[in-house]
Amino acid sequence: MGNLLTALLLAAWAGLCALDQFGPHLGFRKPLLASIGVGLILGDMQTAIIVGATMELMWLGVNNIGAYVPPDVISGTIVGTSLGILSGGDTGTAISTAIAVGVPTALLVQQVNMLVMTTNISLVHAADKAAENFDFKKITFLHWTGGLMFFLSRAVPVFIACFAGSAVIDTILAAIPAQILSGFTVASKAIPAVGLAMLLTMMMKKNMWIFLVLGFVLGAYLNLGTLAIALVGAVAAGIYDLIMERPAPAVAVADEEGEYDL
Amino acid sequence: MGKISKKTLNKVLLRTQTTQFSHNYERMQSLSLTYDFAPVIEELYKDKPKEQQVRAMQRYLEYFNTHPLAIPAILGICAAIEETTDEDHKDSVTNIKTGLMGPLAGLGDSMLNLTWYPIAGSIGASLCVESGSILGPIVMFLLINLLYWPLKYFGLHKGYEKGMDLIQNEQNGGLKIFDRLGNFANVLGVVVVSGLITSTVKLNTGIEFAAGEGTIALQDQLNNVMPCLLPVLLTALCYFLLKKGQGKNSVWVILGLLVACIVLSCFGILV
Repeated sequence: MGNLLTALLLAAWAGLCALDQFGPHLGFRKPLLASIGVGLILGDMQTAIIVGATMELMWLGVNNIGAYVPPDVISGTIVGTSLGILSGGDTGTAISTAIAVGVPTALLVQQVNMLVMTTNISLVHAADKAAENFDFKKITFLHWTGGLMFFLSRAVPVFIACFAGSAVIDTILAAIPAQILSGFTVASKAIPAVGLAMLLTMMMKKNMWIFLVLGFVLGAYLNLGTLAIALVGAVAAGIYDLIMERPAPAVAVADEEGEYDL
Repeated sequence: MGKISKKTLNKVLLRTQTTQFSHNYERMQSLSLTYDFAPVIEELYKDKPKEQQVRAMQRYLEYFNTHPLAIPAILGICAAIEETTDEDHKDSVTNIKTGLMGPLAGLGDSMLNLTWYPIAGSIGASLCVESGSILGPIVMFLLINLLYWPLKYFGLHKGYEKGMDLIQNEQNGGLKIFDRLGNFANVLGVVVVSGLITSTVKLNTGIEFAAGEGTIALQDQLNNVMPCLLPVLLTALCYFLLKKGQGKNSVWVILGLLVACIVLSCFGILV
């Protein structure tokens, strides 16, 4: 009975975090803030925050950009952190359990999300009909139905994973050799590379390698913190803007020489 | 100016807090946008003929997709134009709405999603990843919301008050400011992400060579060549894989990396 209630609460929290992702953007769709709810529900805030922070760093670069749908870090964090805590081991075990369970969950729910993005198309078609009657009540209803779908897209998988998982997690963990479990910890520190690379694929335009080198030197050789790096980055961005926006007299020169026929 | 009451605008602000609930692949945020903007449409069109009402609603059901944080500002501007144009010139609402969504999406992505979220997340996490201190999540929450709420609130209200000026300046290169801000954010983002690679990606090898009496750790040798050499190589590898698969293969890249790390760590190649 206690299990059922816990799983329901965790599922509801996952649904609310999903609504934050599709709504106000308060930040609860990020692992560190999503893990707070898990800490409250399971009564172990410290472990929840440590696991959440680990996952935050692991998925730092994972973000919704444009129409691209990333792994669902919300369900990954909530399922991972919960089962990590429920496995009852020390913090290290909780972290490796969380990653072992959380990464596959996030990848799976990513597919569910794409399904909802597709089924929600029917809402717009219904809205077209509502528009012909200038029916705002119907619009409100359709809009919130979409919200409900996104809520369920996280809540249902999290409920299943937490309810079924908490019963069998001990058995599963006992079956996994310790070596493999510690391999998950190694992996969790390498996975940020994927998210950050994902960000770079969207940012690496002309001339940007210069700033890539700058950031690397600041971080690797000077060991500056993130905020310090960001401030230097802002200065670099300002200078870049000044250079790029300077009126170019070169065009006139080229015209006189007549070498650059455009 | 100022026919639409502040109260109505605040209703829109409240509704924009649900702004992607009906997100979908066909017309993205269109239904959400219609729901968000309903209070203004109802106020402006309540005494208008039915066909105008219907057309107004259909204007917002057209394809629309931008950064969620840009929606209040765009709706503020839309409110101003809806109010000042007559029925024959409503095309300008659609034109400006679709004209703004692209530049603001790019700006929002590069400034907020690519830069501010990672900054807030890494600062927050660094405060609590060892200790589990509640300070980490609190700092992260504040970093995000102290920036986001003013953007939403002033975006909507200033968009409504000053929106027309901005659009009229468009002829003199008003939208160019978005390009400049976008470039600024892009450079800032690259520097920050590059710095984050050095601090968050961790990859160490456990390979050791026998050398005379003792052993030489390969990792020490690599550190002498360049700090963070393996993390940089790994990120570069991921970059090229993702680029090749146009980002659609991210699931496989993550799973592949996961399996590779576990296997290699079992053999002590990675520690």
